[in-house]
Amino acid sequence: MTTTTPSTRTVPTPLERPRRPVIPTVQVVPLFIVFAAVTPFFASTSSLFVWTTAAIWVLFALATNVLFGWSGMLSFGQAAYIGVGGYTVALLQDSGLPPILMVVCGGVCAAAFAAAFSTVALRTSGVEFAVLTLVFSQVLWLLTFRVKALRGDDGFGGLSEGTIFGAELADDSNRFFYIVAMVGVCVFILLRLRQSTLGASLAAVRDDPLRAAAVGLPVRRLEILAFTIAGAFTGIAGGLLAQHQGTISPRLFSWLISGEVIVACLIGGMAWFWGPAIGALVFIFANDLLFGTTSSPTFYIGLVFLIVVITLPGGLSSLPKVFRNSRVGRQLTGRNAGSRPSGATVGQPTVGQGEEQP
Amino acid sequence: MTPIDNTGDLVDDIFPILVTGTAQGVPLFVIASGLTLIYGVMHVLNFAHGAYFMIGAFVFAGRFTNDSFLQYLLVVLLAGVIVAVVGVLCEVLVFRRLYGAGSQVSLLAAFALSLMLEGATRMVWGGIPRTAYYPDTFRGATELFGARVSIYDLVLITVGLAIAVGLFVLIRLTTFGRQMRAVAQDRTMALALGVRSKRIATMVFVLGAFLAGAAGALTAPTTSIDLGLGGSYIIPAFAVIIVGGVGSVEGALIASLVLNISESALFTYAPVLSGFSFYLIVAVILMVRPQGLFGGHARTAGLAR
Repeated sequence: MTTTTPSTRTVPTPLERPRRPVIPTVQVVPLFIVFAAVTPFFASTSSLFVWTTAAIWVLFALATNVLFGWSGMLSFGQAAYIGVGGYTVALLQDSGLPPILMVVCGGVCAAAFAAAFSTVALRTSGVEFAVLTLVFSQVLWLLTFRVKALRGDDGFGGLSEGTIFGAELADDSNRFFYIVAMVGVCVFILLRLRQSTLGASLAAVRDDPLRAAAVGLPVRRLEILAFTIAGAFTGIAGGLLAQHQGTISPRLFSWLISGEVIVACLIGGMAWFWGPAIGALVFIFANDLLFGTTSSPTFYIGLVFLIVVITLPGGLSSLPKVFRNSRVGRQLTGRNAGSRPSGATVGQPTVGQGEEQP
Repeated sequence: MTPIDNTGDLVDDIFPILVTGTAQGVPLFVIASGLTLIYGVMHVLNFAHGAYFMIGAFVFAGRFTNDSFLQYLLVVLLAGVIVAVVGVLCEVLVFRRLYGAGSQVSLLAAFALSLMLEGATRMVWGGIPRTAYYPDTFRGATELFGARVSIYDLVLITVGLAIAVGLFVLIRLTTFGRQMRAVAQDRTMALALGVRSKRIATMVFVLGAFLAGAAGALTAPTTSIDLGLGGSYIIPAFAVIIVGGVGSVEGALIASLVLNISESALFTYAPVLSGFSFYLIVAVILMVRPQGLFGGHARTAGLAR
């Protein structure tokens, strides 16, 4: 473990205090189940489609955040793993496997690609590494055109077929339940990983690779592991996306998708486990709204993203903290942000700042 | 073309391969040199550079109408100037605020800018692909050393050579170039010695954006001009600056030539691999030299591995 226990320190200042994000498992799980059970009865068919897409993007964004928020790696090529997952499902379509297994295979394939790629590419770091991830996703995109079995621009269709426990996947609300359940399980696994010693080691690598190496952490192996985990869950998201849309094309590998997921992570904020999930929901619904109303949605997406980067680098989930530290917020809470006693966070709706209750 | 195993043909082929490869390398070199200069001085990997290039091409397609050489020159310059203005706006309104925040944040901002510029391009010119004309003077092909080569390729090579020499003179021999290298090497020290690093940063952005716009205009006649143009050039340009070593214009020159000539050779001899060669070579070079051909010292984070 790299985090120092509070008892060994005398007076922890806010900066020194180990930053462990609050992850309210107990509160989130029932909320999630209620929400998932109720939504299909309220949503229209088209908005249910968007909700399902949003659920997949929540997984995609949370998996991508394993790189950005957990371990501080920058990847501009996560579309590669969405694509591998989606194409695995498409290629397995005639195999007769149950849909869940196909998606798992997608995740395994994507993890294998991610492990192979990162083993080579992690010789570089930072921006160079980000460019390499981009290059790799472009290579895979090109492959879909060059390998005959992948059918180029024609892509694959009819992927929403199949049954799970006798329920037809082609039915919109069945598919919603199935996908939300899969996303829920994956997010739960990610959550447990984040809370494990692996999550703590990755945070140590993110904060200072040199120091992490000095305390004996295998930095490069941890980074490869993180990249593989991100790839695996992104592959599962890709497989689910293929089954949800029913068709896939090489657009799945497009660098725009890699960029959009970063937008989602950033809007939500990467410091908090749930930040990217919030960002993904905001992104998908904003996108849905903008595509209906303007001729050039990319302009406005770019604009919103730019404003977030400049004015709120911590994303939406840092809003409570920003507010607390603002003059109005300090007056309202009657506390001085600089010398906040560590006990004061208990019972407050803190985000990404307080002590975690085990 | 079919693969050729006859040695006589092989020698005959080499010259056209060199010419097309070099000509295709010119726009990439020009984009990459702007990118690498901006990165070297400001540590901003400007994703929006592909959009600059695309805007240059759209300006050219919209303004170049009557085939005359003079108009061609003016339109190329106009494209460069318009894009330079866009570049200054980006620098002053966005990147200047983010220098303290590190290169990852500014990379994200640059990505946002590229989305915005792509959207703006769609608003101004619409989403329909366009084509641009060759100027009359440069149309067709000519015999050179017993091989047929496109005249426009030769024009591109000449312009590329001129830009390479111009950049070399600018960076190595002028006061501006010396100040620029000073800021790139140590911003604080340069400031202490009285270099106006903010102004240098803006100038470098102007230069890089101008080059990207002009490169877009120069390339316009050879390609279909659509909203994907930026993406299809920026990604190979990234590969070029990584292979060449981030921050090195010489590296960008060598890398763009090596990558494009080998691409052109593979297109002739092994068509199956064309399109990949670029990325294969990138992978091989980075495995041998992670910091690129002309790259500086290993980063501190590398020590931890």
